[in-house]
Amino acid sequence: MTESLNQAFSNSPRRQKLQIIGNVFMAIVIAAVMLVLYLVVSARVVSVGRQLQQAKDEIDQLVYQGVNYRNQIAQLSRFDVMEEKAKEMGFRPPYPGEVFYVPVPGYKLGPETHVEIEQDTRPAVINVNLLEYHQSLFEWIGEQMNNILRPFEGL
Amino acid sequence: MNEKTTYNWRFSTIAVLFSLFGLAIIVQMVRIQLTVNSGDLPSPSLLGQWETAASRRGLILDRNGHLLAGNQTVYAVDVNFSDFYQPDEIKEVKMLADLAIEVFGINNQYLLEFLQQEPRPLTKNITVERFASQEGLLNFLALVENYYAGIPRELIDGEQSEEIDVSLEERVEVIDCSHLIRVSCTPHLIRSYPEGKLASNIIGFVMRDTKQGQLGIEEKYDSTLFGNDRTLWALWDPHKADQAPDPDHGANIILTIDSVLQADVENILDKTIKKTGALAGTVIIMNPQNGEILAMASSPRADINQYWSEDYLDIINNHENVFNYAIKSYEPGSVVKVLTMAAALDAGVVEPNTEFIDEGEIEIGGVTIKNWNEKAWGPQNMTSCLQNSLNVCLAWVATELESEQFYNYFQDFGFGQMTGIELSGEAPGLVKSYWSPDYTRSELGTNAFGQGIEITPMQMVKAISAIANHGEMVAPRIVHSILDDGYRYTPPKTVVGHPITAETAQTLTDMLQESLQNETSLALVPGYSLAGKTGTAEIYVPGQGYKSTATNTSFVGWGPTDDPQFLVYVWISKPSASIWGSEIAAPVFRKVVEKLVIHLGIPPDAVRVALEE
Repeated sequence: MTESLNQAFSNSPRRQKLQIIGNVFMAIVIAAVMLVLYLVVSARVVSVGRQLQQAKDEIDQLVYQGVNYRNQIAQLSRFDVMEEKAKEMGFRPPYPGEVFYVPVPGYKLGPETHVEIEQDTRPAVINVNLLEYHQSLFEWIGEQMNNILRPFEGL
Repeated sequence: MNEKTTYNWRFSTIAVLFSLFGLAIIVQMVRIQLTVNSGDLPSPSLLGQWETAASRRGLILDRNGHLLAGNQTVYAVDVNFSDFYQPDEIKEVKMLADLAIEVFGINNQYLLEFLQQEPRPLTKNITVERFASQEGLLNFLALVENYYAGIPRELIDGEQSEEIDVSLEERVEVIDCSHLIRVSCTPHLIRSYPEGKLASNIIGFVMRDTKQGQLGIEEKYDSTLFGNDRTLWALWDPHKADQAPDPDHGANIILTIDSVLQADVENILDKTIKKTGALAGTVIIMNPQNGEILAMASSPRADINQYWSEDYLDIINNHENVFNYAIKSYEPGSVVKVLTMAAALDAGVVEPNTEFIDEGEIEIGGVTIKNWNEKAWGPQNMTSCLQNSLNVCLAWVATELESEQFYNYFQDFGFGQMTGIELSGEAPGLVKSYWSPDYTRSELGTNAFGQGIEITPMQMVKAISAIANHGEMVAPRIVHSILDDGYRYTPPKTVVGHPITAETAQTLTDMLQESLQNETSLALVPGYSLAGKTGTAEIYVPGQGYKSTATNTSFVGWGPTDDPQFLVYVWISKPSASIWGSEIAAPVFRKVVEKLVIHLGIPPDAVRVALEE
């Protein structure tokens, strides 16, 4: 009974056409979903890429601004400017006889300079900025193909 | 022809037309794809623009973080002189050219001729100014925008006559010219020296065009300081945005110099040179315990912000390296007697109390050597020989050492070799070898009191550090640390030899301290134990020989003698007020020490001993 029913449906021309149409639609829907997904991902990549490009531009701007701020601070704290301001405020350089020394236990004034940056203990830096580290497989294949085909250019 | 046939013909025609149209599109697509690099339409995947990552040159700071060499944003200003045909456009272009000449003070003859040319040729972008300052560009843009706004120039000139108040924000914001069609401005960084002449002899400078460091630290550490402005073809393709160039800033360098002390010393040196009518001079302060140079003044100096100025041509382009007298060689004179005596004491050929009868002259190698006053001083000991700076006595001491031993000691003190100080242009000096064919024995006598040899002040400082530092000679250094990528590299203290023993160093220090006190020298600073020696050297003039009217005056001293914190070397060249080191260089030493003991917090000996107890 079941076999006869299956045979009747499978052999039915109407069912066969519906199956084909269904498969085509299914393929179209799957393709459409994939394309939409691709579009969404591409749009996101484009958006992030643009943000990255803008961020790099902003970094440039900030470098220029940082340089300008530091330059302004340096101009305002120049030695002759500070000396002039000190004189205007009534200060003058001391003479040796005018200096009083007060002992502070544990404190020693000296010309030592302390730089609050860690001493470099890194091993020698290896240059990893090589093309091979950035290339995708397809780009590598393309490059290899170009290398192979280069002698035949212009023939 | 029936109706059906007519319709078929029409349908066929439309179908063929559509097919041809579709085919044309396909052919065009294929053509574009195949002719990607040779056609006018590049592939979208190759579209982009040249981009430069703003990378700053490393900073140079003093030991307290005070900025000595930084950077500054300037602009390359381009004006587009193409596509003007209408009277208004011709007027506009003329206005831009006139304003550029006026505001940027263009004096390049070629550019000036082009900008003033009538009728003006059609040309693309012309860079009217490569290094426009922030203020200069703002001024230029204000005038241009006023022109476009129709504000009469007379009114603008009236406003310009008053001082333009540029706010801090305007000084630091990056200027954008993209709203102007014919004007573009591209920011870039150049070197800036906020302190101008201060320590310029140490720093050197950077050429604006080539960005190469010249002289001083800038040349010596050019590759370390260099900020690599990476310029790459940055793709517009957002998928490859990460391939845009990243900045590659140069490393920062911290010097051992104390800029306050440096300014004080430069001030003292400049005043001395002016007052004594001297040609030039230098003062070096070093910590003899670790070799750190705390100040290194040289006069005359150049304002390195204006290194191209004609005023500084003689300083910068001079073949005798007068940019920094601290590393220039000269005949130092009697300050060398300290080292002759150090060698003799160390070799054991004399002792402080060794007697010498000074007869006023001595003959060595067929040459008669006389004292500075050409008189006989009678019975002397070694301390009084130094105190009275007797050439005859020290020449005799050198003969007691004999040539081989004498020059071996001088080699151990580092004469004839560069000290390795991190500055470009250091002279090696000149000390003859006693086995060289042109050497004569008379030179043993003259070299003993600092004539006939060439030594740099830096070499003297290095050599004397062995005496001040208990026999341990340290290499002078001016770079405290290099900071790169968040890490620090600090060169260690370098001991470069022990030319004499600690006992010899102590004995000589005591002798020099005593002689300084006995002669009531102008170098003495009340309350501080100091050791030192003056030097006066006649200057050799080609064709005329040594002239006693032109001298190099020097002084070397250190203190406190029981715990040396500073070593000061002074050289004043060709003073006209006096020819003697005791009258010219010794007072400079005193003034410098008076400043530095306060600045470094070195109390007088009595106070220091009391504090230590």
